[in-house]
Amino acid sequence: MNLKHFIDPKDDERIVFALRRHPIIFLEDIAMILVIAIIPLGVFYFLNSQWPDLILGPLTGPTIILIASSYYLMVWLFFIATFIDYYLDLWLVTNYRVVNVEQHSLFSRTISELDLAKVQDITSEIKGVIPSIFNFGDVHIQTAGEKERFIFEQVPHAHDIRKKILDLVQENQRRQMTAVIENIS
Amino acid sequence: MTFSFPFSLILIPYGLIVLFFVILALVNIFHLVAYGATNGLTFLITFLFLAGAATVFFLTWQGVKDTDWRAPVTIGASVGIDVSNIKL
Repeated sequence: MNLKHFIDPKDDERIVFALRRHPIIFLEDIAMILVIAIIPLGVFYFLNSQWPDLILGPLTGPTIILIASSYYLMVWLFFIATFIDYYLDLWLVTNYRVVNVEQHSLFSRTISELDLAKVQDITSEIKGVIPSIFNFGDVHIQTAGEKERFIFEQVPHAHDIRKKILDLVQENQRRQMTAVIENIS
Repeated sequence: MTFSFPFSLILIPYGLIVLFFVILALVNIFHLVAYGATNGLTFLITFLFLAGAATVFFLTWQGVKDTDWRAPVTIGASVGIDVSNIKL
């Protein structure tokens, strides 16, 4: 993954980790798409049992096929849009900052960043049966004097991520202190 | 009052839906490429998407290829019931 796609990185800046929502979230969407895809089969079975001539009719048959085709094309579009929404929502943590890339819809995308130096408090939260089983949750990043800006939503190993970001914040503070001392001396 | 039109007119709304599908499909694929998400998983999903769309079009074609598109569709015609076989 190239950091230059999202921000203008510093010379020694590197991605420490890149996060997406837990894959189970995408699988939930896939399950919903499967249910939506099965509905016309039930309708077809019902029509075939009640009015078999309707399915075989020279005009009604092709009409039903074209309606079903349109329906499945829309379901398929929904599938790729769901994947893009899942895949392009991204949180990058570098050794200098946190970058939030959010795909709101097909034509709406937000990229925001936060300096690790401004991070004051980090909270991780795993709530619910499914999140506890699959070990995913939210990580809230609080900045000094500002309202909460960053939430990593439904990311795997939320508690571990909180610890790693705290380590990076401390490392960043040490680096800044060293730079200040070097400037003074 | 009745009027009739060729059955092929039904292809116009279907064609518009296909056009809508093609435009949004291209926009979606462009999104993946433009934002640097070009790796094995995105190629697999794109391939699955294109293969699924091709399957839908193929099955649709198989279902409608023998249709007589010039057959007239009459709207407003009176509905008659054949009573010749009914024994009183």
